[in-house]
Amino acid sequence: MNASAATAQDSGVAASAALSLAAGRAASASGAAVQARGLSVRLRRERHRIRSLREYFVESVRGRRLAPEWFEALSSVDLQVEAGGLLAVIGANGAGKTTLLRALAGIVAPSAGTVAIRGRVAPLLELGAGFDPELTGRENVFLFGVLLGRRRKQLRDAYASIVAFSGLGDSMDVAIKNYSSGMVARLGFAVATACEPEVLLIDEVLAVGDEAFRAQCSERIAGLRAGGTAIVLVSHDLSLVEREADRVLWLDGGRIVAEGAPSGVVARYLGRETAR
Amino acid sequence: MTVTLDGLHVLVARALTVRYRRSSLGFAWSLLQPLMAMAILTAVFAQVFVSIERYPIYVIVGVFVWGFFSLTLVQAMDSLLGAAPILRRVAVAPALFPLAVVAANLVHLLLSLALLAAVGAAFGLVTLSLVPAALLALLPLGLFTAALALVLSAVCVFFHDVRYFAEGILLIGFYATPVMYPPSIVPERWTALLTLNPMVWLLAPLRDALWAGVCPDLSRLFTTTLAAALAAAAAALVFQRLSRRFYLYL
Repeated sequence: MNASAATAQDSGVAASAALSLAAGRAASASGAAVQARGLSVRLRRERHRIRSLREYFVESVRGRRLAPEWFEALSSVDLQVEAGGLLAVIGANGAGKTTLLRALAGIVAPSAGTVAIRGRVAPLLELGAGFDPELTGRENVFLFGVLLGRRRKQLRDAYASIVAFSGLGDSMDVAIKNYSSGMVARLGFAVATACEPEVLLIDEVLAVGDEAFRAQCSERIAGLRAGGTAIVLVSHDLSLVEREADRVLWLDGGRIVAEGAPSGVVARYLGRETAR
Repeated sequence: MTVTLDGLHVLVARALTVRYRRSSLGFAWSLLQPLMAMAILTAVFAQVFVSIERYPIYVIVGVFVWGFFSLTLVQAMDSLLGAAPILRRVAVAPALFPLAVVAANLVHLLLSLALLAAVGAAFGLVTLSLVPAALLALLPLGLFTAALALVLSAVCVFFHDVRYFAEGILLIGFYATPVMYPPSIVPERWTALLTLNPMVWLLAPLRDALWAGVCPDLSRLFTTTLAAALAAAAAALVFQRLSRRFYLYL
């Protein structure tokens, strides 16, 4: 508990935010960097969602029940990632993979169960989310970095290495709207992985970019893991999963179908998918 | 999820950079609209309200303050929806976004009023010794605007069309507030409405300092600040409550 409280305090927004948002959060006793126990998340179904005051009044006057429909996006998920470990999450669209990452990041409150994170979480967004197209690369490093929970000072210190990783030395003073998608991906990855987060959540971002960028990302991921960063990676790229992960979690309908060594789980997943 | 100074800093920097960079003239260009409003209002009403001395200054203070208030609220109502891609994926305090809108617009108002004070003082129309009083008078204005910005931005997450209602009310508010006319022309039976309008209370001390050249009533300014601070505290609580359900809607 002490360790967790302390890291939350000095790691700034991300971790403390996560701690205060989810009531079910507790320190991990085992020393795992990421741990979820019986994690369930309930979300609203999109079918008929009232988004305007006008609609709300009309429906109320008609006497229609406005009670929302809920569904379990995640049901009793247990997982654990040790420092330096990489857990890949696979599954069909709508299986709950992204919801799992959002729960781990502390954005979605669990309806049951607990999430324990040791240290600072860096979520890696969909391409370019968090960047402002009107701002230059340099300005976006600070904007996005601070939103991810870093201090401005930390980013100033890490700035040179961020630029070096992104390979955008000449373009840092150009507005992002003039960047190619590959350039945006490079910069986003460079900022998210700067300042060595204890936990890195990656959602399907590595699929973009050319071969060189992917190789560079693999190298950075290996470096972070060697430094003790725990990674949870969501991906449809099964060869990437088999190459990088040391554990694989297969989700379907919000439940764990299988969890274990990459080759076994991926093979079963492929078997099931082709059988459909 | 706490609002950090670093967070406000980058978001305010972003807002001002984008606002001033869009045109080659930057800040000067952004003054064009209020100056045109002043010119038009002066041309039309200076003859009507001959009782108001230095009418252009009277009206530009009103236009700056009202412009700050309404633009802040309109932008705040878009702030959380606009930040949805970030709020969906990063555990960042949502209050940062409406508060940064308030802060950025407050900086802009400060620059506008500073320019007015400098130019006005050069022509002997503004008393520079009253500038600290004007700064003090910005405090309740900022707090009250922040209170409304927090509540409205949060409500807009659930009901998108609140924006249109609010814009309508702001239009009424522009005419219900003595921006271009003197409070004295309001008929006796309507003066109660003026007393109920917070913008009347917030605008008056700024006009005292920058237009009338008198020090605002400090005890009244204190009461106004206290009331605005209470409104901001209540708004923060409401925002906190509502923000727990943002993830279902954003």
